[in-house]
Amino acid sequence: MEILNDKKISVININKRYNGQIVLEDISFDIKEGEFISMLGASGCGKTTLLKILIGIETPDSGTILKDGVDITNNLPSKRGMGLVFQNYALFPNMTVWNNVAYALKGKKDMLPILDATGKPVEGSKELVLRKRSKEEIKAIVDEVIAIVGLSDYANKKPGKMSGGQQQRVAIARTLALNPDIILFDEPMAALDADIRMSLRKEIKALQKKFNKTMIYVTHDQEEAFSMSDRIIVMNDNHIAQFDTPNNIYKNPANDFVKKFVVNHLDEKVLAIKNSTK
Amino acid sequence: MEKAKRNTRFDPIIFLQIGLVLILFVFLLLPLFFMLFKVTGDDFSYVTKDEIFYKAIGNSLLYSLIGTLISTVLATICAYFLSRIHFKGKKWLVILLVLPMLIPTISIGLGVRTLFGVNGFLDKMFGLKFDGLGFFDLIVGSVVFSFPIVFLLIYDALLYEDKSSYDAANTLGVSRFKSFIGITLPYLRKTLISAFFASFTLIFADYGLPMEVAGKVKTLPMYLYEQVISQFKYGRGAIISLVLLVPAVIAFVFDVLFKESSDGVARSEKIRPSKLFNGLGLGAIIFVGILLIIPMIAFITISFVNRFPSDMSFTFDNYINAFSPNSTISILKFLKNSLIISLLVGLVGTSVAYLSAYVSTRTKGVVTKPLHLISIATLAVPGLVLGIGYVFLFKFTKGWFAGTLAILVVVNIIHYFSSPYLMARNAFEKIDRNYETVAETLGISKNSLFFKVMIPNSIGTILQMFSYLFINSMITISAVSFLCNQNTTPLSVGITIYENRGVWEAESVISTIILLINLLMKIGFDFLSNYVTKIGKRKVEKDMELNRFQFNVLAYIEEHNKQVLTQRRIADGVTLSLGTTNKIINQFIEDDLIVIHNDKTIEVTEKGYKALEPYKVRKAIVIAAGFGSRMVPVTLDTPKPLVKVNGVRIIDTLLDALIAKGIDNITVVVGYKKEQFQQLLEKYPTLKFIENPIYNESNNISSVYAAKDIIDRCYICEADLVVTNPKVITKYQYCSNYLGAYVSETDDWCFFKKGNYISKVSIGGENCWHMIGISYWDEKDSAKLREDIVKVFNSRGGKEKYWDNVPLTVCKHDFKVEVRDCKKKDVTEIDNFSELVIIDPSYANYKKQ
Repeated sequence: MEILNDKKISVININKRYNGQIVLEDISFDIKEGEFISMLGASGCGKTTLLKILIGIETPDSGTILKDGVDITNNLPSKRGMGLVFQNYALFPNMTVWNNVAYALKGKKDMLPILDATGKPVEGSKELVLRKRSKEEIKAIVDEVIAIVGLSDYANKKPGKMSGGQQQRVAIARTLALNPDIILFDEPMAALDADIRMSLRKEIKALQKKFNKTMIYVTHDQEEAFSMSDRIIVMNDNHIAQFDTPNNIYKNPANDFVKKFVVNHLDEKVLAIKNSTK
Repeated sequence: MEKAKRNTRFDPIIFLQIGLVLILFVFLLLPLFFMLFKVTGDDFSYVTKDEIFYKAIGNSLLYSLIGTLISTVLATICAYFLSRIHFKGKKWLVILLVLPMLIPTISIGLGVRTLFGVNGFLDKMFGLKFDGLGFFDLIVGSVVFSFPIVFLLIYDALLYEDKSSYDAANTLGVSRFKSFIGITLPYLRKTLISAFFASFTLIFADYGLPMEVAGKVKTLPMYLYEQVISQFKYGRGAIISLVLLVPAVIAFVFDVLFKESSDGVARSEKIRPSKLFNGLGLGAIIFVGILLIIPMIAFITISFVNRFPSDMSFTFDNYINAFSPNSTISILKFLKNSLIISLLVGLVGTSVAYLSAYVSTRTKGVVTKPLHLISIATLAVPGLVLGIGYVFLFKFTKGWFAGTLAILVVVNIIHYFSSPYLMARNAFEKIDRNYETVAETLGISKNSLFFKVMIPNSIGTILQMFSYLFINSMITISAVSFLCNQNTTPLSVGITIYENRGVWEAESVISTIILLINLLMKIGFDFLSNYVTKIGKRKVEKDMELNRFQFNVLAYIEEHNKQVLTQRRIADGVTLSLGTTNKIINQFIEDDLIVIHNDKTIEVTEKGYKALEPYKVRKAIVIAAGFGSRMVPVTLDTPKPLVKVNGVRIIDTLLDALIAKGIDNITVVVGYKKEQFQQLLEKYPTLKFIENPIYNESNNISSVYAAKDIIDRCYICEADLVVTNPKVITKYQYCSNYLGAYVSETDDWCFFKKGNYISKVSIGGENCWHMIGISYWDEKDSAKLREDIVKVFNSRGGKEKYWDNVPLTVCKHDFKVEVRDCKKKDVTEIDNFSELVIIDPSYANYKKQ
C-alpha cells in the first residue's frame, strides 16, 4: 500500500476513438507527487486528447484514472483538483486582469475554516465548513497570485492590452488561484516569442518547486520538454513510445521513432548552436 | 458502462432547450395547424365558389407583380449608383432610402391617397385629376414600402462584387451602361430573384395600404379581412390564409436553398468615378429618395392643417387634441398601448431570440437543429396568417391572454422573430469557442458565463435586436388587428379606426408620431450600438503603437538581439538617416524598450517585446494541395513541394526559414497525394495539416478557403518556392504585404504600385514588381480576408479564381497591401520540368514510373 501513496495519478488502460478512428490505445502510466511531466509528440499523436481526458473535458471509451488512489474517471472537470492552462489563454476580454483571476473564486463554495462573528476565519480552528469566500479572502488570494506571476502593476488592465507572455501569466494566475494540486498545460508557449518562452519556462519551474505542484505539460518542442521535465512521455501514433527521464531517453531511445524524433533533433539543435557561436 | 454513468450527469440547460422549442411550437406551429383543422367543408365550398375570391387573387397578383417590378428596377439603380459614387454622407442617403421602413404601410397609403386622391394635393395645387382610388395608388404605395427591403439586399450584394471584370471592360472601352447590362446584372441574378420574392411577398400579404387606397379594387388580404372582421367567418379566413402563405413559402424555400451567407461587413469605397457619373448617380438617388418621402411629407403637412383640403391654415390643434384625454381624436390610450407593446416585444423578444441563438450555437443536444429551423421559419409566415391562427387557438384564453396586451406582444415577437435571432446567432459565432471549456475546468457555471461574458461581449447586437423589434411593433397592423379590442388597440391599428371615420388629420397625426418615435429609436440605437462596440474595441487596441520607422528599428534590433550594433549599422539596415535612427534609439532607451549593456550589446527588454507583440507573425499557412502539372513527369510520383532539389525537399527551404524565426504554428493545406506529406512530421513535428478536398476541380482559392478559419496575422505561402535567402521570412511584420522583386520586364504575374500600395496586378508588364507567392496579412486584413474569401468562393465562378485575386482585385478596396522588396535570387521559382533539370541535373534521366 505504500506504493499507492507515492502515486499522484494513475492512468490505467485508457482507450479513446473518434468516429471509429483510434486516438488513444491502451494508455497506462503513473505520475508521482510533485513531478514535472512532459507529454511530447508531433501533432495528431493523441497527447492533447489524453490531457483532455485527464482533466475531464473528454470521456474515455474505457479505462480508469486514479488520483491519490481514488477513481476520478467520472468526476466533473472542476471537481478533480486540477487546473488547465490553454494555448490561446482564453481570457475574458471584458474583464480586467484582477477580475479574470477572481472570477472563478466568486460564488464558489469550498471546505474552508469557519468564520467568527466578525466574518474573519477563526484562527487555529480546524473545523471546516462548506461556504463561499468572503470579499477579503478573495482579495487576499487574487492579490497574492497576481504578485506571484509578477503582474501587480497590470491588475486593472484588460487582457487585450497586454503581450502574449503577460496574458499567459494571467491565465496561470487564474489557475493558481483555485489552488489545484495538479496543473496541466496545453502547449502554453506555442504562441510566444523565443525569449519570452525562456523566461516563462523558468518561472513555471520555479512555481512548481515553490508550491510542490504536480505539473503535466503538453508540448511538441523537444528542447522545452528536456529542459523542464523530471520525466517525459514520448507519444507516437496513439501510443506511449517511451516514458523515462530525459537523460535515459537521450541515452537509450526505446525505438527508431524516439531516436529520430527526439535524439537526432536535439543533436541537430546542439550542432546549430555550436555553429552559430563559432 | 463508465460512459453511461458519465452521460447521466444532469445538465439543466435541457430545460432551456425544451422551453424554447415549446414556446415556438405553441406560438408558431400550433396556431397554424389548428387553423387548418378548423376549416369546414362549407367554408371551403363557399370560398372556392366565390367569384370575388378569384377576382381578388387576380388583383393581388397583378398589382404585387407590377409594384415589385418597379421597386426592383428603382432599387437596383439606386443601389448601383450608391455602391459606386463617392460621397461623404452615404450613411445619411441610406437612411433616407430606408425611411419608409419606419412607418406603417397604412400611413404610406394615407400619403398616397392625399396626394393623388380626389381633392388631394395634386388636384388642388395643379389641377391634376387622377381617376380616384385603385390600381395606380396601390402600385405607387407598394413601390414606396417595398423599395427599402429590395434596396438593402441589392446594395449589400453590390459591395462584394468582383471589380476586376470592370477594369477589363474599361480597358476594352466598354461603356458603363454596357458593362452594367453585361456584368452587373448577371452577377446580381440570384440576389435579384431573392429580393423580388421578398418584395412580392411583402406586397401580396399587406393590407394596410389597400385599406387606404384600394377603393373598389379588392385585394386578397382585404377579402380575408372582410370575411373575418365583418362576417366573423374565420374558417373562410383560414382558407384564404393558405393562399397568402404560398408566395412566402416559395420565397423561403428559395432563400434556404440558394442564398449565400449574408453576414456582410460594410467597407469604404475608394473608387473615384468621374464627376459626371458621380453627379448623375447622386441626382438619381436623391430623386428617388424624394419620391419616397413625398407621401410622408403629405401626411406630415396634413397633421398641421385645420381641415384638409378645405382649410389649409396652419395649426397645432390636431396635436393638442390628440394629446388631450377627452377629445374625440385622443390618441393617448393608443400611444400608451403601443409603447407598452413595443417595449415588451423589444425586451421579451430580444431575450427569447438571444437565448434561442445561444442554445442553437453554443449548447449541444438534439433540439439545437430543430430550434434553428423553427426560428428561421418564422420568416415565412405573414402576420395576417399568424393572426388568424391565434384567433382560433387562443379563443379559450379570453380574458387572461386573448383580449389582453399579452397576446399582442407574443404575436409580434413570433412574427418578427427571425431577424433578431439571426443577428444574435452571428454574434455568438464570433465569441471564442474555448470559454465553455475554461468555465468547465474552473468550475464557473454556465449561468455565470452567460451573464458575465456572453452578454458583455455582444451588447451592441442586443441593442440592435431591441431596436428592430421595437420599430416593427410600432408599425405592424397585420397580426394585431385581429387580436386587439377597444382597450388594447395600438397606434398603428388606431389609424384604421380613423380611416373608417374619415378623419385624415388624426390619421396624419398618428403617422407622424410613429415616424418620429421610430426615427429617434433608429438613430439613437444605431449610435448607441456603434458606441459600445467602438469603446470595447478601442480599449483593446490603443496604448502602445509604434510608427513605421520605430517599428523598423526595433524589429531590426530584435533580429540582431544581444549583438553589438552601431547606430550606423542600424541606420543602414533600415535605410533611415543616422539622425532619425539616433532619435528613435534614444527614445527607446528612455521608454525602456531596449537596453545597451556595457559591452555595447543591445538587448530588447520585455517591454520592447510587448511593443512588438502586435506585429508578431502568429502563424503560416502553406498551400501545397495542387498537382504541379508543368513539372510532369516528376510530379506524377511526388507532389511538387516534396520534390528534392539538390538533395533538399523544396518545401523544407520555406519551413526551415519559418522555424528559424520561431514561427512554428504552420498549417499545410494538402490535396494531391496528401499521404506523402506525413513524412514531414518527422522533421517538423509541429506541422498541422488541412485537407483541400476539391483541389483538382477548382483553383487555389479552394485551398485558402479550406484554411479560412485560421487566417490570423499570418504568412500565406506557396509551397513550391525554393527559398534561397531565409531572411525573406521575418518574425515581425508592420502591415499586409506581398513579397516582390523589381524587374524591368516580365511575362509573369506582377504588381504595379500607387504610393506604397499595390494598385494593380497583371500578367506581364514593364518596370513592375515580379510577384512572389509569400504574403503577410495583418490583424485587420486577416479578418477581412476570412470573410471575403468566403464571399468570393461562394460567388458565381468564384471557385475558378486564384486566391490572390480576392485581396488584390475582387475585393481590393478592402485591403491595403504593400510590396515587400526582395531580390529575384532570394527565392527561386521552378516553373517546369526543364528548369528543374537545369538547376538539378540529376533529373536529366528521370523516367516515368
